[in-house]
Amino acid sequence: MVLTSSLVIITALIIIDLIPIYRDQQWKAFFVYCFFLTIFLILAVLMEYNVKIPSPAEPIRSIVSFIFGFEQS
Amino acid sequence: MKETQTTAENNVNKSVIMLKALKDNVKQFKDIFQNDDTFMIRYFVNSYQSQIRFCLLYLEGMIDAEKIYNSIIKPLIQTNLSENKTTNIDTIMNQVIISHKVEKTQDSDALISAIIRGDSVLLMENCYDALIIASKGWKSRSTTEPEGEKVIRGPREGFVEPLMENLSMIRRRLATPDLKFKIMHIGVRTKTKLGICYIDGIANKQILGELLERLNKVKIDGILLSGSLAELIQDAPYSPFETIGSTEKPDVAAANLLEGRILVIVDGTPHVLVLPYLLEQFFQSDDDYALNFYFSSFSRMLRVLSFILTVTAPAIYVALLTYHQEMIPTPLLMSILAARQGIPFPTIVETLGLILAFEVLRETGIRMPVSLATALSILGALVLGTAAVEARIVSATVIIVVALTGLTGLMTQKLKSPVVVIRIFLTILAGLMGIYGVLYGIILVLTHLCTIRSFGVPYLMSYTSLRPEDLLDTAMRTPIWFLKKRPRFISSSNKIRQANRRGN
Amino acid sequence: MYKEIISQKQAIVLMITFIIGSNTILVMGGKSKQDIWIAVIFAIAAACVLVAVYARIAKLFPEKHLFEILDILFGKVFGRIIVLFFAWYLFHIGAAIVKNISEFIRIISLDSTPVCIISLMTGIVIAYAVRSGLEVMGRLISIIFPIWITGTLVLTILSIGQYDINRLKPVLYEGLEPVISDAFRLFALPFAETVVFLCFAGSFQRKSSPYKIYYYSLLVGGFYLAIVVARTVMMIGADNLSMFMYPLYVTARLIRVGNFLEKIELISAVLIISCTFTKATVYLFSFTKGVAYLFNIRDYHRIAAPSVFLASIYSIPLYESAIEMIKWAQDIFPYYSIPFQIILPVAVWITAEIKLRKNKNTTAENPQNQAM
Repeated sequence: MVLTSSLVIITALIIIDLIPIYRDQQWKAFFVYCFFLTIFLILAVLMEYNVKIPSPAEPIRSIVSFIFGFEQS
Repeated sequence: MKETQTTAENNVNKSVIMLKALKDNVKQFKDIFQNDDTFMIRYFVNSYQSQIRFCLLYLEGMIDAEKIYNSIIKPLIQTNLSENKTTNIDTIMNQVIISHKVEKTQDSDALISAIIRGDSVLLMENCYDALIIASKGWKSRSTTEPEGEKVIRGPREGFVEPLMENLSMIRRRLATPDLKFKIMHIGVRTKTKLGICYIDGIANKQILGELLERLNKVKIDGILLSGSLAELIQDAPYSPFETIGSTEKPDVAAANLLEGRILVIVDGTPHVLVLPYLLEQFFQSDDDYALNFYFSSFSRMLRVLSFILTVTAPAIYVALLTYHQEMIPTPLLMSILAARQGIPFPTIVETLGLILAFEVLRETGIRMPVSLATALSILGALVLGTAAVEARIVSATVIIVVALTGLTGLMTQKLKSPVVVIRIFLTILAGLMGIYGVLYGIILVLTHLCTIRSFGVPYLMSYTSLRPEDLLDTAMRTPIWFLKKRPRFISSSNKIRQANRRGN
Repeated sequence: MYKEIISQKQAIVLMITFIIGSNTILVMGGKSKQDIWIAVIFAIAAACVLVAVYARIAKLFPEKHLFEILDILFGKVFGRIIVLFFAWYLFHIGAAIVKNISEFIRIISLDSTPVCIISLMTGIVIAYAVRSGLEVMGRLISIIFPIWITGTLVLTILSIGQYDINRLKPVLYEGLEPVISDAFRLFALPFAETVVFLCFAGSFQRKSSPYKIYYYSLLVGGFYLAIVVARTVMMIGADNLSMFMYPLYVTARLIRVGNFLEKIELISAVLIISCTFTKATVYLFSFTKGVAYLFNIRDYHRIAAPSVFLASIYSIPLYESAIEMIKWAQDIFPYYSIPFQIILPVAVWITAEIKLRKNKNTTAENPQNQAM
């Protein structure tokens, strides 16, 4: 489900956005765009196959608890 | 791309090189208009000096025979031209020909296009120059009340096809020398005449410059309708919303000119283009200013409301019935569910199908001959309506919703292309995500509307500026003495519309 | 490049909506129970001080956004490192708000729809708004805001019959301590978040005053929140406040006028979402601008869509559940934001003041000074 809808979005984005960027030869924007789309695709594939993706919430919680020294379960 | 265009132009412009002998000149014109049987060549001589030979060239059907007879042939034959060599084309032009518009030229383009446009060309023996004499004359439709913009109280006059008549209708209403008409030709083959019309000092010069620039960029073989020209020069070309408006009424056109807008009149189309055109203008009507302002404000709000309703009603119905049944009051829900009993399709399919059926009926109604109207209403109402409900193919509630949608849609006829698109878009989103889909769809449409500009003026300007004074003539119609200023951005410098509070 | 400008009114409206935007999380029972409205007022008072710093930064560097300011003050390399961290913060919180929206929708009605569909749909809407740019966002908000304010007023008026002032009593029964603790949370959550607006403060209309924008929206938005919180407590009581997941939504369900007007919580949900949507848009817009700045892309519109979609898909694994997210937002977020909401702006402000003073003292025509 994730993968299908992501692929639809990626196709749409390539047609609407990426091709004009390529045509205008905005290489920096082009590479950033491709980079983000690749991460987007990778995330979608991982989610489709139920791979657990690390969330920043837990590390941040432990850092904050460490710095401010309060005890949270 | 460029090459094909130039060759196309070359094909069209076979040129004439004016020579001394009359016979040679006529032969060249004959070559250009070969195989055209309406092309007429009329030789004649002066009755006093038979060596002065003339030849008149024109296209039959484009000219007024009376004019040619009275102002060209008759004086040329009957005037006693002196024998001496001074009788040249200038004398003829200044002393003999009785016409309001005569032009001496050697330019082949001008000569050919004059013949095509219904003027006649006079050639003379031993002369390099030719005369273009105005002799246009054709039958045009008499002015009638435009079907699309009917009013209860207001002028019944509507634009007609010929450009000049339309210009005169506007000029009659605005007796000021500041009213400017700029004539242009567009289209490589059709050479369609355009009239750009604005009031100097009120119209925004930047918008005018932008318009001229865009018109100059248009390279096309022909423009036959003002609508297709609008599509070529308007902003947001992929949007269903039109950013150039059109009107068929000279009084509306004049009112727009007074607000600082610019008109583009295309020869051959009674629909005059108005720009910049903003969304609020779709909800304004000529009648609003003639009728009492309470009533006008009410009917204007009604129009806005009906636009919202026609776009969202089926979507909300689908959303409520598919995802949020608990939101419908229980007795109502019971009757809806009772009506839906035994219906094989899901709500979304049912609604979309019926919307489609309604659009088919509407389109048929426009295209078919009037004499078949009864058949259509029987088919539509009886077969599609009653029979479909009784056969349990669609539920009665859907018919009510779609009928409401159709009815409210008729109120804002000019917006029909966005309405059709958005309605289906929202209904599909509603089937996908319920009321939140509708909300998302509405936000998407609003974002889209916010991105559109019409010749640099934001399409939703009056609604988004957060200035109460911008809403005076948009969301409602306040009394005329409230409207002291012209709309911002559209008019350039001269902003004050009226000084005194009231006339009395 | 064409410079985007939003008017003062539009900026104020945008900021008010932004402040009100996370009211779904916000109207939760904290330690202060029925005194939570006092906590909101304390938070506003505290925010007034901090916002002065934000407005001062915006005033000192007209027509510059935060990333450029960091570059000027801390140099190319160090400035960029800070921008990188800040962009991460924007991305993270933006994704969290998308998560908030999609969880809200999923929990209150579309419980059988996969959450990824809702997240990605939200992503589409936000991406279109961000891609269209700040001016469009300003126009969009100024058309949504009047509708929104009318809807909220109507809901508030309709619910008057349900108010029970006794539920606000006893005032300050447990002393000030829980109130202060909640005030700190509320200070960080909606009010100090306005630091994000520094990312595009350069686009405020030249003649507008950042002080006016910040204080006007802070006071209007803040007191509106105080009223909403008090209203909710008066309607369902402090004990129920922590029982329900979305108290604000629940209060709308209680509204009943006569026999014909009931079950209007859907309207309330729509109002809540359109607000939260604005907040997510502002965050992800700033994130896009940050990324564009990091990679030296002049035209941020071009990379708007993938940035927003990345955030919207990343929002799915960000938190396990809505409860976890709300807990995180209440307990961790205030501390997590301290570097970005307090330390960074104060550092920027102090450095800027020192540098400006130095420039004034040494040479009048310092290029740095002119650049500012």
